[in-house]
Amino acid sequence: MLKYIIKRLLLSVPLVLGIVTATFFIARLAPGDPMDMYLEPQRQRQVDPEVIELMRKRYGLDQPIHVQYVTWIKNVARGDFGESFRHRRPVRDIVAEAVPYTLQLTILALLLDALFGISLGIISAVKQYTKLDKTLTVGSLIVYAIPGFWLALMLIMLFSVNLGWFPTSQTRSMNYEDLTMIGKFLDRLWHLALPVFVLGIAGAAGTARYMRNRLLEVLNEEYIVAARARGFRERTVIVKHALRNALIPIVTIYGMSLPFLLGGATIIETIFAWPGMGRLTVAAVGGRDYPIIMATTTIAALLTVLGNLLADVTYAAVDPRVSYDAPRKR
Amino acid sequence: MIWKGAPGAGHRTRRRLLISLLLLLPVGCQQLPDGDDRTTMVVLYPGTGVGAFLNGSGPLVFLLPLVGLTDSGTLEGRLAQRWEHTPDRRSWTIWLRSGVRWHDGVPVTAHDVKFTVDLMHHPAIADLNYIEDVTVLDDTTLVMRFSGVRPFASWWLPGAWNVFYPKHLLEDEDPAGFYRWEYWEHPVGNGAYRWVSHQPGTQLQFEANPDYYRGKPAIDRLIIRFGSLGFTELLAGEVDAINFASSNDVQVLADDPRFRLYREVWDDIAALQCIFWNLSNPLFQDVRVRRALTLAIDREDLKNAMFMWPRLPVIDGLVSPRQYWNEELPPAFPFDPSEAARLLDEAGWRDEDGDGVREKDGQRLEFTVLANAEWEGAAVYANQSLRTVGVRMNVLLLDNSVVRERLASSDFDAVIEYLWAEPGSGVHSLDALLGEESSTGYRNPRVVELIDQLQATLDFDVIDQIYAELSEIIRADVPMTYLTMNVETYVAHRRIKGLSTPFRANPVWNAEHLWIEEE
Repeated sequence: MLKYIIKRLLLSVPLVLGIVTATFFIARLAPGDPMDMYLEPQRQRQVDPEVIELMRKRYGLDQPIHVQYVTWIKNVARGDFGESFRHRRPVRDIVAEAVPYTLQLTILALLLDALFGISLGIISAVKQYTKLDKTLTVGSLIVYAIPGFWLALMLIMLFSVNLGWFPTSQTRSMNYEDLTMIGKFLDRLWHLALPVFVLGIAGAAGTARYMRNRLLEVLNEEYIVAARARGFRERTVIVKHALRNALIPIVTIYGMSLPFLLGGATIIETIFAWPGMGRLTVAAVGGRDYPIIMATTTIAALLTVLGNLLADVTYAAVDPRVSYDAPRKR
Repeated sequence: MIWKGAPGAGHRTRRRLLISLLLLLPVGCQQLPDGDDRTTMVVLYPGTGVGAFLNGSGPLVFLLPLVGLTDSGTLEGRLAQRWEHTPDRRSWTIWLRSGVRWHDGVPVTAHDVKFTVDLMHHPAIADLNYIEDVTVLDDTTLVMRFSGVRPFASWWLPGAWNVFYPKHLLEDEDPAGFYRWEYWEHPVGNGAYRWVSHQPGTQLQFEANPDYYRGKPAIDRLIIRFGSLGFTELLAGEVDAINFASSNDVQVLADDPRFRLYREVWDDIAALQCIFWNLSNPLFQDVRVRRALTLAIDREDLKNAMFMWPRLPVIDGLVSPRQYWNEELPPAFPFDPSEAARLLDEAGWRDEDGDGVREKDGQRLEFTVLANAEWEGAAVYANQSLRTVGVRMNVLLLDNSVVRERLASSDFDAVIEYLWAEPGSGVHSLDALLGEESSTGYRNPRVVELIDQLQATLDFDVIDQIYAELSEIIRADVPMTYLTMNVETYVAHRRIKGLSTPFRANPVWNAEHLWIEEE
């Protein structure tokens, strides 16, 4: 297994390098100029072209693109993602500020996804072809089909603007600092409620469909028939025999959620002004903030590769039939 | 330990905990009382964080500029008590207000101003380069010399929006790391508000400075929140005002009686939003066509359609700052679709096949206008207007940067962008758009001469004459169609008092002048 992991990690190096190289050139070849931020009329003054040229030089944007690329690779190898054009601070610090917010959002969303998705999938499978199953099937398909941004805006209009039950956005109330520890915890949950729901519910709908189908497949396996024939209670058959096997591919799906955990949800974070990685990336793309675009892409690429590896390893760990070790010679 | 015990006890405990949390949640689902009676104004600022705030006009909350504007638009001293300038306006002697202190109690002196200008000239920062140098005469007197010739900037005393930093705290710092200084974690200012806290990506909090030279501001606490969907936060009552409201915000909020729109019209009178016609394109080479396209758009009505300030002038030409404030404006072409149709007929563009679009020599009078999303409304309005005279203008919405890049590289038929009505300031400047090598394809040697003359004087009598002649030429040549001035919009709840158009529109800049009247 260790050999397999090392081999996969080595193979992932050119993959990640390919992704970040493609991103680097696409971002720089796309129309637009990061120095445009000096041309906004709302800056109340116009910046002289010489200043813009100085800034261009400072950030190395006056260099040929291949020189910029080599410089960037060298710096990243040293763990330096550079300085944001817009924030004028090290990218490392900006990313470090965004990651905790994204983790709060994505971990809770994944928990919601797992809790509702798996539960509803099981109920749907066990109650196959009943009214409940049909309702859950149609409901999950509808939820799955609703665009997240639309659902988010509708929930904001209903629960925030009209009913005032939840905040429209942000991470904390104005008086957050004055709250007790429990108050702060609840305040954060209150602010997380809508974005987590929007993110989690769409995932749950997908998971429920997957879980239902997988469980139904397993329930038709011969060993389940055998378990029933041996007189086990239906509950025991489902929970102890069928469910454990049906969950194996689900585990791998969650293993592949690693990029989502740290990469964040771009649209939802933007709508809810949640200061995580997703919103950071959207703002960086809009502002041609290349250092941040490259940092977030690199992180996402690394996590995607690691997530896939984790999923494969987890699969082997939970399913004894899967082995990545070389077969023994007889 | 909590999970151990009799069978089922763990389940019961967990269930109790869950129920308790669910019961507590509604407590969190209330707007919790502040616990004090301080008045608070929350302003939504577009963007993702403090970087954008501090790179823009944000520092004016806690740092004083040299001068500010009264609500009637006259210049009044802030850090500067009084000032004099040489006839050519290049050298200004400034007497600082005595008794102004940094928030740590140290007096503000002319040395702080000089320190800041020198600091800004460092290559790593490269700002304030139009200030040539500062000479300190004594602790409260300095001479500031300007290198650039900028009619609009000079009208308001250059530096009206520039702030100065405390030398005693920062003189040992490395200028190369300016934006990474620890100072930015908790800046010490000298303005009406003191920095309290910063939550990355979320908000900044300020408190009224009781030692402010004009007295403690009426609003005790100012919170700047960073976000994008301003109107939802305003509708939900979570913020009191939106800075730099988007056209989307304006459309949603314009007719809501709870809110007021304010327009900031002073420095930005230099930003004239226009449709630029690419004169290299044969479609636009006949001045009669350009004039017809201008006559076909009702620019007065466009202001209503875009919820603009009704008193914004419609002009065809250029205007100096003094002419603007003296209301000596170049007249606008009238809205006259009949005359537009006649001019197009005269130029040989006729709708022979009855498809609603004019043709000439087999070519349809059809083209594409580039615009960014903020100007979509204006583009669609112009599209509808031109349709009535048989012109098909397709609208292509693009990202800001792409629009500018295509404007700079002359890669467009028509484009909605702003003209910054003074020379030497980048892709939007007068020389870039109408000068010798203009990206719009416009060439007029007299305009080039006038722009050169504009760059050589700060005598406002001469400047006014230049702008008057430029206006005459522009009215004759019609290289672009003026739409409106590119002014910023602010939206505030009606309980926020003290804001006004055109000089006191920005709730962040003007927080010290505002108060709240609860309803």
